[in-house]
Order: sequence, then structure tokens, then C-alpha cells
Amino acid sequence: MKKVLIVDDSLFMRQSIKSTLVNSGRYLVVGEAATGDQGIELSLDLQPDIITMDNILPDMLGIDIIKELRKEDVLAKIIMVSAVGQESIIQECRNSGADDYLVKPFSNESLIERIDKLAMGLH
Amino acid sequence: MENLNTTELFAAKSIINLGLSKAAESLSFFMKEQIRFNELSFSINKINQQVDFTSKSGNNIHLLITSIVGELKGVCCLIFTEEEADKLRQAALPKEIIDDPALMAEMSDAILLEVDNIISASVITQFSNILKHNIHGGVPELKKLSVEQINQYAASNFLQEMYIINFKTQFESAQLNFNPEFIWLFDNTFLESVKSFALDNSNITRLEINSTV
Repeated sequence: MKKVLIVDDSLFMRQSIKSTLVNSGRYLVVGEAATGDQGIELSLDLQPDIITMDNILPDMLGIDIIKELRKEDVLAKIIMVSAVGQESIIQECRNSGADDYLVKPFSNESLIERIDKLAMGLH
Repeated sequence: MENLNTTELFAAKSIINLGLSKAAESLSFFMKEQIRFNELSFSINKINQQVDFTSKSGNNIHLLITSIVGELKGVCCLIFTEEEADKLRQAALPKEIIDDPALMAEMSDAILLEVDNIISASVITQFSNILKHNIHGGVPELKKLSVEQINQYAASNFLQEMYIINFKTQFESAQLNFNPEFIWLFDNTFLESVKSFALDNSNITRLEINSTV
């Protein structure tokens, strides 16, 4: 099973993503982070295969976390899961190392479809 | 309207309407039924302390506040009565959470914060894409107050700011008697941005096409 880390300050969103992934039977949620600092720490400690990343966290922006993780050579696939839907920001996230970007609100089916696609790209 | 010519006023109202349509779509996703928004009330002047900020009544009004961060300065407020907040929880949360009192207690504010985050971002995304500004919503805040406390809060917090644009709508649902208020306040940067946008005729043409679709 692929290991997933969820980084989102919303308790509801962490619970919702976790339950969708666990119910699929294909993913193990190894950690949850509510802040950027926690997200970076858990990404380095737990070495997840996939990270779901909110873009607006209380202490930092998701895009800055991605830059930090890529600088640390974290190779996990990263999908931004955010209510921020501006074209310019989506492009900037992709340029900074995000592998995909899903705009909230989304259905459970579209989340799983996007995560499955990322998982297919893992070795 | 003061400070805006006819074209600028058309641009401002069209951009706001596009934003609010996206917000209504996002709210429909959570409510699992079609949500519309009532006619927009739009004005340019400082908040009038003599006029109540909210038209809701009751002692446990849920006020969700999101600051706009970046090149435009403003704030938005989503306001629910206790009953409306409950309707949203019942519609948006999965049955396993509703049936588990401990989980429900944990999630009852979390779902409101997330809905506010998403619907305010729907509007901000439209403003940002159309007006080409780098803006986003901050982390939302929830306050549970009486109507009197909300009016006081708005007077003491928002009146101090240079918010001169305000627009207000109420969402509307056919079946559920669900009418949260959605109030936005901006400073002069929004006005200047709309004026500059309206100088380009092709921008206005695009808005005219969008508003007839």
C-alpha cells in the first residue's frame, strides 16, 4: 500500500481525505499535519509516497513547503488540494514541484482518481 | 453611483456577480441542492454605524470572517443562524460523523470553517483571475455571538478600516429555508482596480458576453 501524508489545517478536510483514501483500500495514511512546520517535519520523518497539501496554512503557504521539500530532495508525489483556484497560483505551484492541483470542493471520486494517477507514476 | 461611471459600475457588479455565482455553486456542493443568491446590494461608502451589520436575529449567530490577503485589502463575512448552521452540518457531513456524538462535536465547527474557506475562495479566485491581482483568503475565523455583539464587533473592527466598498447578498435555497448572509468589504484598491479594468473595452465586452450566458 502506498503511504500518504495529509497536510491541511482543516480538521474536516483531513478527516474527509483520510476516510476517502482508507476506504479505497489502496492507501495507508501515515500522518496528518495541520501546519506547514509539521508538514515538513512529517514529510522528512515518514517519507510518504504521496503528500496531499493545502495551500493556505496558518504558518506558511503550501507552495513554500513544496519548495522546501524539493530542496531537501523529498521525492514524494505532491498533490495540492486547495480552495485557491487562481490560474497563476496553480501554475506557480506546478513550476515549484507540485505534481497535480485539485481545487476544492471536489468529490471523493475525483480525489481518488487523481491520487491513483499519481500512484501509477511511482516506482 | 458616486465615484463610478456607468461602465465601471457595470464592470464592478458583473465581476461581483460572477464571484457570487461561483460561491453559490460551491455552497450547492455542500448542501446537495441548488443554492442561488438574492439580488446584490452594492454601495460605496464607509459602513454606516446606524445600520445593523446583519439582518439575522438570535443569540447564537455564527459569524465566519476571512481576510483577503495580497494586492486587494478586504474582508468577507458569512453569517448563519444556529438553525442554518445545523442544516449545513446535516447536509454536508457524512452519516458516520452525524451518528457519532464525539465526532460530531469535533466536526461541527470544522465543517463551517471549511465551507467558509471554500466559498470565499470561489469569489476571490474570480476576482483574482478577472482583475489580475495576486490575492487569497486567510485562515477563517468563527465567532458565535448575539446579533447585538455582531453589530458591535463590525462597528469596532470594520469601521476602523478604510473599507469603502461593501456588497451584500443572501443565499437562497428552495427547500430548506436556508439563507446565510454573505458580506464583503473592500478598501479603495478594489475600486481603483475596477476602474483600470474598465478602461479596456475588450474587458467590458468579455463581461457582457459572460453576463448573457
